[in-house]
Amino acid sequence: MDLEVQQLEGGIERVKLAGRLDSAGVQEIDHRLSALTAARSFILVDLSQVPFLASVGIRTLLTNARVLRQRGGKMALLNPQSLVEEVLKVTGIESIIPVFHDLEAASAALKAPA
Amino acid sequence: MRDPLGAVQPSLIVRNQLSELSRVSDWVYEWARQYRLPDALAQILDLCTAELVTNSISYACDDDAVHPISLSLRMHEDLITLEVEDEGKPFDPLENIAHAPRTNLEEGRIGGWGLGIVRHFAEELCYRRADARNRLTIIFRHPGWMPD
Repeated sequence: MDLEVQQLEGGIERVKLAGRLDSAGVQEIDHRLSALTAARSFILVDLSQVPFLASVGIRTLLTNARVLRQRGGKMALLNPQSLVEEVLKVTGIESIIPVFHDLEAASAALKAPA
Repeated sequence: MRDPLGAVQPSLIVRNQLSELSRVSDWVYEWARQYRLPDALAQILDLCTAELVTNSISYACDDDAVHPISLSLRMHEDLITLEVEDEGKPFDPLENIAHAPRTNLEEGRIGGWGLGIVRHFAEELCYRRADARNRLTIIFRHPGWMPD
């Protein structure tokens, strides 16, 4: 799994993941994602190139979202593929970490007061 | 994973190690291709199989020994049957689905979603304990199946 970071306006980090977010994928990105959530405040995880999200991947997303929240930051998810989005809905994660299909709306939500 | 005539084996035995998950996924996709299943259905089978095998690897056995996990896939008309069998301690996952975790950004357990994911996509789940083995049978429906 690959991880690329793009800085957007307003101090938002767009974290583009590519590949399967399974146990192997999580191992490959966990350290970098944890470092980002420890240092930054607004993380937008771009899932457009993630065709597979297993519960271990959900655990990673939620753990990092929780760390951000504790630091006063926020996480949002961008453009999940249809099966990934269904998994986010089924597990209830969609109601915990907001999901967007529009970059502007995601950015606005991240910057909005809590 | 293919027999001498090139057909994908309907059964697979893997070790209870996370490194085996890629082999499981490859087998599921090869089997799905053999039956010309739509990509979306193959992805669902891949995901559910991965969740169940991961559960078995993570929770079935308490020792560090290598234990086998047996998998099989069968198709009959519009029904696909996946079986996952291990030799771990007795564990009925259907009892645990009812206790799916409620969590939020402030508190609550993180984890435990795998069986809920499988139940969402499956038509039916059935657990049986026999000969010191756990066997989970999951039935999926192929919505676009047409008789030949």
